Amino acid sequence: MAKIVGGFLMPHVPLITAARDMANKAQADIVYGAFSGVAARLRELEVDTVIIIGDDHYTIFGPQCIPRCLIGIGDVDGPIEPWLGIPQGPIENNQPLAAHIMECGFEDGIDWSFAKSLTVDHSVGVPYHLAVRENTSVRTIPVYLNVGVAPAISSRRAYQIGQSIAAAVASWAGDERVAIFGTGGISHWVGAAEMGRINPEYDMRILDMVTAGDVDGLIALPDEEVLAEAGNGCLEIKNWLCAMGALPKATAELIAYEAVNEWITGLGFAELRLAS
Amino acid sequence: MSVNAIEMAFWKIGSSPVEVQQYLAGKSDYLARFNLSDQESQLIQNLDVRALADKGVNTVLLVNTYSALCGGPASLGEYLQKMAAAN
Repeated sequence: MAKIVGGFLMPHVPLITAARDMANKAQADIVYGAFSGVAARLRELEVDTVIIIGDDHYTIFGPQCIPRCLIGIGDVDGPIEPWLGIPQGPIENNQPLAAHIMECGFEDGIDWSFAKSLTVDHSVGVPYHLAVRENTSVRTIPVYLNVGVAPAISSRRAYQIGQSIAAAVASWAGDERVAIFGTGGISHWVGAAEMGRINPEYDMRILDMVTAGDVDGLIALPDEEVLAEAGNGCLEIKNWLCAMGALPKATAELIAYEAVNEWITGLGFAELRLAS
Repeated sequence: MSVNAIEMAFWKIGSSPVEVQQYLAGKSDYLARFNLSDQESQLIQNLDVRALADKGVNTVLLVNTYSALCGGPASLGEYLQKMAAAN
């Protein structure tokens, strides 16, 4: 029977790869080390499938159709942005498990949108490139939540989707060992006049809530507060909540935090560890 | 005339290098296909991102398309200068 064996929370800001050399070297080394550490943990946990929770940045989905939650059940490739400094190409999906997660979600009341062919953006492409790609036998299931275009998905719904994903994996007849990534955040203002501002105090508040397992507190954070204190990019903690919903019994341990001015973002990493 | 139409035009322009080239080859003609007022069309052509943001246009979309039109991530400083400008 398949099981989720671990989870990770991590940033996906595109400047990590597009502008690596712009950042303070010590900070960049910590961030790249954190991604490498996640890749190593995937090997230790013998993970063969990663589910990456990301969000579109008004790039792959336009005003004509903005899915609230979407799963890639077929071909996957990317990333779509040519300037990321990441090789573009196919990304191997675990299509049978992805389809099962979708079907189980329908039974759970999750009206998934689905993509039979999906070109991912940096929200999946950066974590894939830095934490998955070197593990060549690992397959990747992309999930997109809408947090970038108002009205954003609710935090409670994001968490429920994580719960549905966990139930689907647990009911899958295969023997996959699955890890789930919640990506994005923490504080950053994308395209806004405040772009470049970082709020480390608020970032630490978020990380403290994560490591304390304060799911109710995170869900209760009003979007208006998050937007004011940490910018539109911080709504990506809904992706984190989705991952946390898939691992309700996990303990979160901080891996790293760096406020990188050159990357205009507070970058936080944590592992969702299950008791062995 | 709406934020929706502005966002549609902005998204379409930035959706591929081919669209960028078509837009740059004839901005007014390109924008004529969208339900934009003359003022809105002018704001787009002038890349007046601050005024567009003040109208409620998604700022993620604004910075994406600005970048696509103005040379990629290196244009970020210029974008921020425009965003900082008071109307």
